[in-house]
Amino acid sequence: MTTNILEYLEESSQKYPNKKAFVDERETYTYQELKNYGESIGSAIGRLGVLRRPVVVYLDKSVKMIASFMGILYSGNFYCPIDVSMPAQRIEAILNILETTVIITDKEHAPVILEIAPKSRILIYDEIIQGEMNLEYLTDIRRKIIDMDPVYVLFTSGSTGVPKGVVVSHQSVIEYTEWVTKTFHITEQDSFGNQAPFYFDNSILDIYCGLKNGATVYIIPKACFVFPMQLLKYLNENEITTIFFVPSALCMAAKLKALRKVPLTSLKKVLFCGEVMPNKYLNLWRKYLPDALYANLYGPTEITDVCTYYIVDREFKDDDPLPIGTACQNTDFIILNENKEAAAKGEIGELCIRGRSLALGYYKNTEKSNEVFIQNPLNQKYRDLIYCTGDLVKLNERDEIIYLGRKDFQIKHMGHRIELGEIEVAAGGIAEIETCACVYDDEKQKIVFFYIGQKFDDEVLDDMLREKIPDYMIPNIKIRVEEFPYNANGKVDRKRLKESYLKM
Amino acid sequence: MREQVLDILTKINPKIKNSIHGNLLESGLIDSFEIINIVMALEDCFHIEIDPELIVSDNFQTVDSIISLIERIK
Repeated sequence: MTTNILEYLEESSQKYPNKKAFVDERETYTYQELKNYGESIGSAIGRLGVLRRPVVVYLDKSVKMIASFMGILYSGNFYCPIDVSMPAQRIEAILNILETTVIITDKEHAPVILEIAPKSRILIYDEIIQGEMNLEYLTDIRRKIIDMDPVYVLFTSGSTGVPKGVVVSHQSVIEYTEWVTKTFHITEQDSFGNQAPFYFDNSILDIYCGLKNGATVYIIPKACFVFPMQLLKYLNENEITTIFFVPSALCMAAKLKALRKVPLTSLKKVLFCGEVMPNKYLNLWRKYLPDALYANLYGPTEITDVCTYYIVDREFKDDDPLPIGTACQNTDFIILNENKEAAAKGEIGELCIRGRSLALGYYKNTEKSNEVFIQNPLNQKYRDLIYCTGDLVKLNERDEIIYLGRKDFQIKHMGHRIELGEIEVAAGGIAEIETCACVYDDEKQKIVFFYIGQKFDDEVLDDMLREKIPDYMIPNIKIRVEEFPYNANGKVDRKRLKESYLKM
Repeated sequence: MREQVLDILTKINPKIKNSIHGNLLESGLIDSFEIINIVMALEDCFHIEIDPELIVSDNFQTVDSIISLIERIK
């Protein structure tokens, strides 16, 4: 019985010590190297005397990040990757929640993080991988860690402007990894092409299915996602068999007609998750790569990446919706209507999930955790926790789940989950802006920002927002208005705002 | 044509206006996935089709390299 994800690393390093485990633009780590570096890093953190605490990793996306994750887990702690391009204010907000002091970084990034968090204890990567291993300590720690202890905490957008840290346990990652391996027949012969940033939970599939199966994970250089021909050539050159991309990345290759030009010679499994995949572009993939397996995966960070899936098994018209299918094995879903009763077949309701993949909740935020991780309202006899996704769905005539949209003001934009409220809070903090509201144009995939106040040049406004929120949250369209429509409750009427924008 | 190209680019990222001579890729002004919007807008605007073989970094380094790309296709 696997109870700690480090067992994956240890088994694979025993079976395939010299096989490439992770490859980035600059270096390659074999399984043996990854384990050794992990143990050194674990020993270094151990000397600081912290246990079951978040440890931040502040590095460029690289194999070094993976070794840091392993090291943190060896030390009995859990990791929190922070994007090096994240604005200082947001990093500060995250560090305040974590109350963490231990940060792994390198010489290049240390000054930046020290300025934001001057009291933190900085571990320089190149130094700690050379430190002495304390195997006795690591063995001792290992006995104290159980599968309900966390592996990582990943932050998502929060509607009040404060990001939420989703805490996920070994048990959940193991459950998920075993399911992916079995469902998609992953073996040591597979090679993964990783697109997802490590602060985004889609990366969990790449990292842990790679480790478990002794496969090689290629961290695809960022430039490949600007130039599609480069991407497809990269996949061929490295004989990548399996990709798990955000749909935007797949659409890019289809839209720019690169698929037509470069026959894919090794790719066999195309998985995607993170936003709606338009059949229009999936159909192009299916045309040019007809023998591959295509699967639409669905799930929020709070249930460990994926909770429902659909393996594409029939033809779809370009404008058909692609189902999100049914629940993964040993996971159950219920659809609750507005009265918190089970929805009738075909009735729209909120998708709720039961299972071992449920996160442990939001870090240091019991209130928010209790709002969405709740007792199953259909069972009042014993403790039966469900996670309410906030996503509206219904069953089709084949009993497949169809995703319809969000219950609240949360959106999916270029694969990122964004609370429009977080943008509004950030913009509301600008003195010259009196009131503001955001809506989302689903069709054109644009964040539309309305405001009352002093007229700003778009780029000035962008600059001010960039200090507070990541680039992907910056509104694409800004509209200054004289007044807002309000609904009966005195709230800004976003529906009417959106209508007025669509009429423009 | 320069005006039209600039118009397309600044609509995608307003910051480009301030660095029309700089390197758009190295400075991160053209990021992942944005290339799609740029290519599609250029194709629409100049009634051309940009072959995927031409969507490489050399042709998108600067505003000038984009203009010369369009001139070659036209």
